[in-house]
Amino acid sequence: MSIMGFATAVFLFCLGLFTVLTRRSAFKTVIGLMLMESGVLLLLVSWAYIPGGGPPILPLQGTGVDPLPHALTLTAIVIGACDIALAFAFIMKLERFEKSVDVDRFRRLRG
Amino acid sequence: MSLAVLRFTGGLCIAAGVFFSFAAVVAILRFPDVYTRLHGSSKALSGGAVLILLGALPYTGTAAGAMKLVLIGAFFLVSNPMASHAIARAARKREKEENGQ
Amino acid sequence: MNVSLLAVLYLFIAVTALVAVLLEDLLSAFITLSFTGVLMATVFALLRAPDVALTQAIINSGLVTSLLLVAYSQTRKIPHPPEVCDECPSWLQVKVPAFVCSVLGLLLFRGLYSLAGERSLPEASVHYLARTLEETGALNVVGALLLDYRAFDTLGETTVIFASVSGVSILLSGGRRVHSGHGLSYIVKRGMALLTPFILLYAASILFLGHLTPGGGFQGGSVFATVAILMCVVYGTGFEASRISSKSKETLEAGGAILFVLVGLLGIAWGAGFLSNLPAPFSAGTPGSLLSAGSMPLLNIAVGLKVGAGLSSIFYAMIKILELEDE
Repeated sequence: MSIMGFATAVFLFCLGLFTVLTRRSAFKTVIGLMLMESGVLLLLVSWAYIPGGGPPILPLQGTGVDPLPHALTLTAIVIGACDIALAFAFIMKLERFEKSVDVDRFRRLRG
Repeated sequence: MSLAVLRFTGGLCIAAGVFFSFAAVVAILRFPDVYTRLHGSSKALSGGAVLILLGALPYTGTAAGAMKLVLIGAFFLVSNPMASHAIARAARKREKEENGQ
Repeated sequence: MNVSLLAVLYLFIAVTALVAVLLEDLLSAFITLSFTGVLMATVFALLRAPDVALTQAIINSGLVTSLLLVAYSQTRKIPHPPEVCDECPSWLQVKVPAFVCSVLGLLLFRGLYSLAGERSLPEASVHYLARTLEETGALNVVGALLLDYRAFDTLGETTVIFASVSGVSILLSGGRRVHSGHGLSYIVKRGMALLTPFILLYAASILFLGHLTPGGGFQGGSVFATVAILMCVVYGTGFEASRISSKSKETLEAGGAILFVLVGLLGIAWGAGFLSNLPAPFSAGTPGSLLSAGSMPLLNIAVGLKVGAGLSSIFYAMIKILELEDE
């Protein structure tokens, strides 16, 4: 049952990692990061699901699903959006200096 | 008895809505330019989604749930023409600019 | 639980993610990615996580897509680089990364496979589900977790939002806003004027009923930010800036943070600890009424102010540099 969710989550994570490793456009790197984040979110939520559980809103009929991963996921979504906004700000700034969005060209970011 | 009839009608509505959405997908894939594609794709929401919402009405069970569906449908009917209008206008503007230069 | 529906949705998530990665055209890739986000929100709703589904739908597929489009339109004049590195040897381009990723995926899946199957609730979650009403007075367990049991984490999270907003503002400072945009046509403006009160009402209902129904400060604040973005798109860039200056946005954001900390300090003053809810002088109220759950409505308002003002100022910082480019 939840194994499908786990499989999709692992697939999303690895696809995101592959994108970050291979693509040159900085936007594709951000897309990869977003996919990795989505994989983690999906993993947490499908881990929280209990067969037969209702949503964690009181009063419960029967048992509820695990509310703790939901709170974690909610936090992660908001922080992820802020991360991505910061990544875009970096891309826009670097684009003005380097006139490119090619991550191979961002040499001055090397420490 | 009457609920069964209503649910059957709802099922027909959902089937029609799915057909509309499918037709919209075909339109986006097959039509040649922006305007005809827009004409097709706006049917996915105005026809498809609204019909599916209408068809889901007998299955909600509560008056509050049915009211929500009606409100969602009304929102679609207001917002979708606006969005299509804005896209078509932007496309026309760009076309004019490209022809002018 | 409809397993086959869930399987179809998972399949579509995988397919849209793959398409988003493989598409050359960035604009299409972004739209496909937002579609992945909507599908994931549907899956979250099916997995009985309404709070997460709401957040995912509003933030990840709505706000982040608009940020993507702004960043893309700002850099579209630059020739985009070829997809993969063509100077490096061919085995390094695709094959080795693909191999590394598949090995990692297999390892992860191997580990998760042993975790799948029947699972019972951990002790802490059983406690939260059973005692939330008694200990906090709230009906939404996730909201109670965020704003009562783990309110300190939420304070940290709002600090992250603040750091991100300051980072974006510092990076994109120096542009000046030109009041150039006239917005869309009359029809769209009137339609938007018709819809805005309802969207604001929706945002307020999510925000103020966060302790009773799915939703809360994060989601409500994001819908408020969405209204600001819609205003900017429909009425032109100068409109919203002339109504709500960036100074007042800063004030709102700081006000949210101060409200949060003040509620926390009130707990210390009553000898109950930082950010404690019912042990501090907050009344639990009647369960299910608007003014219940002690400090949670106040904290929801604080988080909503913080998130709404923060996300809309991020959008405006990005728009600012966009207009400098157009000049």
